Amino acid sequence: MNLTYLKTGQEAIIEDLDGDNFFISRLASFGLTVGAKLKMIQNHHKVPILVYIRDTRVAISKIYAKNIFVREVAGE
Amino acid sequence: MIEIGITGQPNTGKSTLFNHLTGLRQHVGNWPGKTVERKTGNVTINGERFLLIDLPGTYSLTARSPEEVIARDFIIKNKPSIVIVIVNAASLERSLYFLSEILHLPSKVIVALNMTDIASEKGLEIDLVELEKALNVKIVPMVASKGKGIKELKEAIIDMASISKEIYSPNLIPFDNMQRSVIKQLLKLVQYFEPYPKEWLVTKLIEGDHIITRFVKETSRSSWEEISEILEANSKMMLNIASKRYEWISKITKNVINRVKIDEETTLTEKRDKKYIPPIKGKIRLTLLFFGSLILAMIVSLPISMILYIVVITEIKIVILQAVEPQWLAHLLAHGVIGGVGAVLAFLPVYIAIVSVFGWLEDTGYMARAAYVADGMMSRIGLHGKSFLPVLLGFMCNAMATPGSRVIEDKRTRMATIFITPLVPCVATLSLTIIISMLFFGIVGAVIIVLVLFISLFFVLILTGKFLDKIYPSEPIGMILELPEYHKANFKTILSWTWNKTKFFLIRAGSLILILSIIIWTLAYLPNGDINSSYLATIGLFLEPFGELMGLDWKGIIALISAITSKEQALATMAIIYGADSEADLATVLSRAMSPAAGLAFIVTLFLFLPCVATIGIVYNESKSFKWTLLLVGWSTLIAFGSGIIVFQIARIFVGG
Repeated sequence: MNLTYLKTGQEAIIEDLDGDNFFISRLASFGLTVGAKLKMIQNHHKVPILVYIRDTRVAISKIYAKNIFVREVAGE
Repeated sequence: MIEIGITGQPNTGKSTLFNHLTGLRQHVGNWPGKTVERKTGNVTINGERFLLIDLPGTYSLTARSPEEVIARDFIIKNKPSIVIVIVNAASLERSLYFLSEILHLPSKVIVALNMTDIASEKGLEIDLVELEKALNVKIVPMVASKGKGIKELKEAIIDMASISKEIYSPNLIPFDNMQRSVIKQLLKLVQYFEPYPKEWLVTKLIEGDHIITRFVKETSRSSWEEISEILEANSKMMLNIASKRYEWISKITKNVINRVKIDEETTLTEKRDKKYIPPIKGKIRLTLLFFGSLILAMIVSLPISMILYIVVITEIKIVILQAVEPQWLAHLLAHGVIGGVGAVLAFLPVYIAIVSVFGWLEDTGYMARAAYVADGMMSRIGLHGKSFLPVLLGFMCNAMATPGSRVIEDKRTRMATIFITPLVPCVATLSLTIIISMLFFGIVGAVIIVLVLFISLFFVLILTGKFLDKIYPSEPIGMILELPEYHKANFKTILSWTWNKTKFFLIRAGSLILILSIIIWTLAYLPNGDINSSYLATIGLFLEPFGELMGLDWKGIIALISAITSKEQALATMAIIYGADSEADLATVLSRAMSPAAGLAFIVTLFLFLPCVATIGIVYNESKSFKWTLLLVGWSTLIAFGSGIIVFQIARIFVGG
């Protein structure tokens, strides 16, 4: 599923990223790479999604989050 | 002198560290050919002098925004002897990713491991010895905001300066066999590398870096077809390279970080974010915080400015008029110089108050939250969250805020931000609006006017967004934004921020405004010392038919038009042309010179009109488009004068023209 479906508080692992190399390198510089674990801090329709990844909080616009595919995993 | 570059991802405390190392003895200029601010400063350690160059904070070295290009071009082309890379201990993995890119470049690297206090607050214990071993570079732990580790960093600089390049050899991220072979193929095909390091250039090529791609396309023409075929066949490789880099980094961090379980709910960031990031609560808090701090800053500083302006400046004028001979010189000094530049300087307290409030908000880490909750609002005018900061800082000074748009990666949003930022009223505009409103309509009237103006500004911005959509349509564009940890604001950082911005303000008052004031005074004085038959009157009378549409006589329209040079100039001009024939204060003179309806139109136009020529220059510099700049000037003129005329025509029915 894409990242916009992950609910607040859920954790997931990134499985695939869709986009050109430029987009992917941009995501990488924020720590978003295949295999990375993240936690949804806030997923609200009015603001960009907010995730906790590699010890930082990163806000991502929905149109980009749709290109990030994740698999939900159980939280610690 | 040995050059030291200092770099790091945003929110790693780079400016704090820079300020600590250089003190306030900084030189702020621009990067050659760019308007990106270039800060340099001298540091003397054990009698040896070093030149410290502050490189723009960037997330990676891939050319996405002008800042990133500057940072990497500087390291690649100027080859500073040492580069200090600031790494955030509280988000080590991501910081190390950036570091791993820098390590491929030719300079010797010292790692400043900053924010170790926040890291331990988050329950991260870092084993420095292991980390140093894994990377094979010098690491200095520090808490720059508290001045911890500065001494050790200075020692590291001295040590590193004496080490020859041959001995320095950091551990680089290894590539796997697949990547190796692609890189090898590309290394053979690319014909020209200078000035870029070979392997670095090839990986950037794989990453799809625009500038590097163009560079190779132009310099390796005969093999370009083959190169692009390889790139196409391995288009998913970037995914791979990035993941592999992080895998390597994760291996290191797993070894060096000991994660102590802490109650996350109790950290400062968690507690504050509960208040500031929920969409509705966050927006309400943002609005309160913004207007609250603006009003507070104004309440504290505006009375001081008013006293300076009305009492002190007037007194100085009187003294000069009595003491200086010949009379024309006294006149020039009193009305031209003091009236012009003095008017501007009187506003210094307001300016400093607002600049420091913004500096404080910026330094606590709050601004990113503001950008986050404002994203939806901004997208309504075709911008996004990252445009929020420049637009917000526009309320301080448009000329200084507009370059803030360069952190925006996509061109459409950057151009739109450059267009919209100058339309918000700056400190000078706001102060002037309040003062003139008070002169005409008293305090209550002024409050109502400012309130209504802010609401209409909202509509003007929406209208502008619609206009930009028409002339520069685009797909919706998103953003990726880091929300850093909150931290206690650092007094020195705020002080340095305020001082740097105030310096700009003072220089402008002492140069541009001084010259223009003298020119306007001269035009108002010549040929015979009587303003009503002066050259300025001739120009004004020519414009009067236009001014009449909004109830202004020639003096009014001249004051308004001179506002394009700068908002403070309008006040200066008014002081020159209205104050030239009497010693009466501006309030009395103004109410005699303009009807209430005309006064209202004057205020509205002043509020909506572009702030100053400096801003127009900067819009050109940032957009690199003459057309875009001209379009903005035309649009602003249309909106400001159009609104002025409409307001006058409606208001005269109620309050009389």
